[in-house]
Amino acid sequence: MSDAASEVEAKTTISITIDGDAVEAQPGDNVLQAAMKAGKMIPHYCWHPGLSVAGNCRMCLVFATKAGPPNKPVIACNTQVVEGMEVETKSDRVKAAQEGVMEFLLINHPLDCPVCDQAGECDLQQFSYDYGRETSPFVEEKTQRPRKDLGPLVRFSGNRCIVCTRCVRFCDEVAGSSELSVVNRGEMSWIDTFPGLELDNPLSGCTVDLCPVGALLDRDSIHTTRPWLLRSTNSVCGGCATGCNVNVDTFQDEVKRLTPRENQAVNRWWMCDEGRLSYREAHEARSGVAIDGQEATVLAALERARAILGDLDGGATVAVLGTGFATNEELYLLRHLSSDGPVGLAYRADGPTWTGKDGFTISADKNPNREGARRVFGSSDLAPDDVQSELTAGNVALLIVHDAIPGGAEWSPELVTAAAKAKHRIVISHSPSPFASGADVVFGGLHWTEKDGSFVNGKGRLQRVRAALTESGARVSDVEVLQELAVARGLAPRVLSAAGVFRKLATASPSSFGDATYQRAGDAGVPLPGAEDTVAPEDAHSFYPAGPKSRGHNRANDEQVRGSVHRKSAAGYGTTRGDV
Amino acid sequence: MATALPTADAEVIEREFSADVVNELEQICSRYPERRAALLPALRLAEREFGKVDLGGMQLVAKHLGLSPAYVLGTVTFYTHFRRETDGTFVIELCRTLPCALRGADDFAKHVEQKLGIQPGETTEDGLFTYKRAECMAACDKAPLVQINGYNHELMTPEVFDQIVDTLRDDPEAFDLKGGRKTPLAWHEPADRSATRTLPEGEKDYEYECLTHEPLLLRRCLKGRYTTYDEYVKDGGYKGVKQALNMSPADVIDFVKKSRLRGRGGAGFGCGMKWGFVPSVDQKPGPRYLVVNADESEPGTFKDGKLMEGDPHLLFEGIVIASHAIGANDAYIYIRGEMTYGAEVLNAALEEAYKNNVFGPNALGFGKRLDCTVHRGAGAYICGEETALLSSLEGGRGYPRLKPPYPAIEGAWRQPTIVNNVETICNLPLMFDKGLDWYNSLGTPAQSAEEAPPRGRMGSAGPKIWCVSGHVVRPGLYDVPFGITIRQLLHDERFCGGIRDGRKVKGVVPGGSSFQVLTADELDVPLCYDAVADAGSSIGSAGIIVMDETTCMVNALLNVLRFYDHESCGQCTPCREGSGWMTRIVWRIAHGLGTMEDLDTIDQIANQACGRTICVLAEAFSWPAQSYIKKFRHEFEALIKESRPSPGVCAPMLGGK
Repeated sequence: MSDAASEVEAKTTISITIDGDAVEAQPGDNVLQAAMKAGKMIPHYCWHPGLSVAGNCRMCLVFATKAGPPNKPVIACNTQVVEGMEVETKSDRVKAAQEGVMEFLLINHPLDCPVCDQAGECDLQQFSYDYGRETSPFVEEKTQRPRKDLGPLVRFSGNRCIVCTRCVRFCDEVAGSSELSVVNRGEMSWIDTFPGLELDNPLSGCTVDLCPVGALLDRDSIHTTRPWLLRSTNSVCGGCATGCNVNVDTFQDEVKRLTPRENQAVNRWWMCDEGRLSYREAHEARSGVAIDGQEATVLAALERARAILGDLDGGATVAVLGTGFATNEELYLLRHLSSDGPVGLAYRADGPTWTGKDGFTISADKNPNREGARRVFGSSDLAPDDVQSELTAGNVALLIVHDAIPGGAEWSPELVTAAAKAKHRIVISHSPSPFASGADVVFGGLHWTEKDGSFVNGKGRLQRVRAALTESGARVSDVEVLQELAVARGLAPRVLSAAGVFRKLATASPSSFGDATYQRAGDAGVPLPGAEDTVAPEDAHSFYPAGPKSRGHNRANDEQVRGSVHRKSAAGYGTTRGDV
Repeated sequence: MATALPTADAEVIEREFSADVVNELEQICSRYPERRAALLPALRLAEREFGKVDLGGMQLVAKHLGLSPAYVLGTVTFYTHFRRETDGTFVIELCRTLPCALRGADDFAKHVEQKLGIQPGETTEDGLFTYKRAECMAACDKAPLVQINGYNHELMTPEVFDQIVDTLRDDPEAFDLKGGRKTPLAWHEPADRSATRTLPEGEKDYEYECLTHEPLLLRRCLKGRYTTYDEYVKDGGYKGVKQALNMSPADVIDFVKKSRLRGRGGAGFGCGMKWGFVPSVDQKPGPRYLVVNADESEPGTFKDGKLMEGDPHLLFEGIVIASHAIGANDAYIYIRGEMTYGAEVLNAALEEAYKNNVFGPNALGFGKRLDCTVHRGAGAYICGEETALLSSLEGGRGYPRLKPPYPAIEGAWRQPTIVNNVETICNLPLMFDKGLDWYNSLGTPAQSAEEAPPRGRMGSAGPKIWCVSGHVVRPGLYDVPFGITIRQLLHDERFCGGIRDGRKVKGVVPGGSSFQVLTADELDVPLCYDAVADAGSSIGSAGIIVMDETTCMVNALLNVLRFYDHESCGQCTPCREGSGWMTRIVWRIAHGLGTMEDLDTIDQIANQACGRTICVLAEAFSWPAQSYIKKFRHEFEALIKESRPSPGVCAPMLGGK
């Protein structure tokens, strides 16, 4: 599955020069790959490492020795590296070829950047700027091609289409659904579905990421904001146990969209539509903060919670309920708070599983951290029965409910009834919870887009989730609340950051978490001991980040503007917000 | 664009094939290694069964072949020759490409529009007639030409057309359109051989050679019907193949290399050398395929169609030889969709061939299976490009493929494949029957590296058919050896008989409309690969288009560009965008709206497109544009300066017979 893995196996390299610089290329690489791996940009539209070579955009024209007639440019994407090959990518004649292709691409393009959602993260814009001519003698009428919604998630603007066929190849080669085809021919070619059938495969949104221009746009986020105003946070999707790496793009403290972030060990360059839209759950009904059923401030609620914990006997039984949506840190703190008390875990019900033609899998397990729960508690199958029987027996002094599942876990009514028998009850819940009624204190829990922490995906890879939204005044992070409780109970000296909690967790469970740290997990994640996934963090990113809309370029508040990513490429791949 | 896309709210009609048709479809599928390859034939079945290729038919075909409906839609809309939902009972397609335009197609088009009362692309109110503007039908000597429901009606006059339309209007079943309207082929009678001349030793008198030359390839094509198996055998057929089958494949390839046979499809690549690229079975196991390129669509070229319609067994004999040489067990004849009659002839002759064991499990008794399949295209010039042809053969849009890999290494179904032109294949039986010496004596000799540095030259050997169209007295096919000059071919009484109405030549395109034009001063160029290349053009597919002094070169170029714009597959940016851009500029100039800068822009577009695309269609529109402007710049400048529109392709000639 991973490019990186196969590269490690190949022992020999091929020496070529690119613009006079010596470059070691991998056998089987094309010139484009070799150049980009060496941090040299060769502009291109149709080529993508996850798809077959189409060679139709002609943007990557270079001159290379040992590749046919000497005076004929070749496309870098379909030219295999050969020992001793000399490649020109910046000479005048290459520049002339690039300018020519750019001019052709733009003559029938509407140049409607001011109203185009792709503007700001558009390859056509960027390469015009980097490689195009200022003017063109074109004065003719432009061709007109249709605009339509291809499917529930994707809108097509025909006039902007450059017929690179990335979307068509994606549907054929990855999604396997083949809903798209180029129709007609010549300059009246465009992309279409069969009349009456929609572009509606589980990964349809990826066509939007792949589209190098503004022809395919995400209907979900269209016309809501400008890309350069978005603030992007590297995180991991909470939609299922696959744990796709994502960018959480926010504007004015609201998530506007999720886009995939490349990780060869997890999701390649893709993510599913369901995950893509899962951020919406953060905007649905949320739990508020309350003391004895009355709305309260967070500070007052913390005060009350500390008092409850402080008054507990040393030997009092603390029962905890957690979910598969809790981060490792939250789960660890729950374990810590319960001491040896009863623990119950609830999960979101399984859904359908789906595997693409390239191996990309949507997990049936719709919880992002069941594996984390297994590693923290030693087992992930801790049904709330123990908790319920202890509650029914009246043995529980304090019940802590931590429900991070958007919409709430499906707790049994018996359990909810039994909860009334606990002397005290503290509830931290993302959504309005059945446990809230009669609880001493209720805290509003955070959505995964708002949290700092870590998940372990179904294959045992530890991955960082990062807070893309600053907590609003009404909420304090779950990790902080749980630590306040622990401090009040005398279990911990002070409140730490999520990173600090993770260090304690890793120290406490070396067999489950090994020597993993946030630093080591970084943006690529790290396989934990005994994991099915063994790809080291340094091998998880290829030289090629995910599609232009998700490369994290071109955003005013990012350290790395797009240009530098392109020019530095491999070196430029990176985080958009601090990695710890 | 000729292809109209069904609207999104179009009703999808549930359709079903009868059991017989399903059987037929399964039979077709069994001829190919993949079911997808049966897509074009299956769509033809749907067209036959339902009278058109509509959304329901596409879905049905998709279901039977295990393809996505979108894929089928994409493929259907690539081609222009399927009957559409909106088509009337009779689809009348009028060729408007340059050779036809030179012989009055534009005026005839006006008559057709007037008679039917509709514009191109429309259908008459009674639903009887649909009129379409079509591209070259490979019958350039028979202009004006219309196709009615797929059959050519040659040398149309307004009177004949009116008669056909009126008759069909009264009674749509008044007469059988099958076969179309045929007229005799223009031909040259060889001069008497006994009139011998003495020549200095070692010299060859091409003029004499040509005048006395007996037709070789076309000699059985003059009957107006095809030569049957019995007639072919009686005339000495299937003799060459016996020679070849007695040789080892390597020897056959060597023989063909020595023959200096060069491809007759356009590029002129050495046939034997191409065969030699097929890897050994050790290097690349699996089947080999022979594909005959019968997608003759270069404007001005009409030899392959005539060869197949007249002498199919000559082609079959060549196919057996070539298949033996490259180790193929399956041969496919990719015939262009417009050649309805040609495909019928091939299929009838193929049946004879199978009956007589030319093909089959033990082909010609040599213990080897050899199957041959006629595969019809569906209207796309680009499918004449060998890799586009393979894409189309495999059941897809006719997109040229990236090279490398070349088809000889990885072609049809990713297996070694040789694609040869019909005329190339038809050379083989003669070569093996009559021997290398005889074959090599025809045409022009090879040159060594000393004679023609740096690498020497192959010369041009073997028989050759020239297709002459345009303003000559007798346009037609001339089966005369390489080396004859253009002037001789055009002006000799035994050949074309001079220019119509005693006018002078203005320009001649020697190799089909995609090549550079030659002027009246360049007529003494001998017609052979090397000399014409030296003159800055190419004999290409031997489509010689003659334009006399009345021709407006601006409008002629516009006609050529419209063709390539229409036929660009749309894959590569420079060709997709450049062809349309250039066409629109020349349209403006032809309408008196040009500027001097436009001429530079055209040159710039050509330079930006040439050599930067997957196939050579970028060259095909750039070369004519650059050469017309270079050689006839004054005509372009005159229209621009005077801001006046062009008088038409050749206004004074229009309407005249």
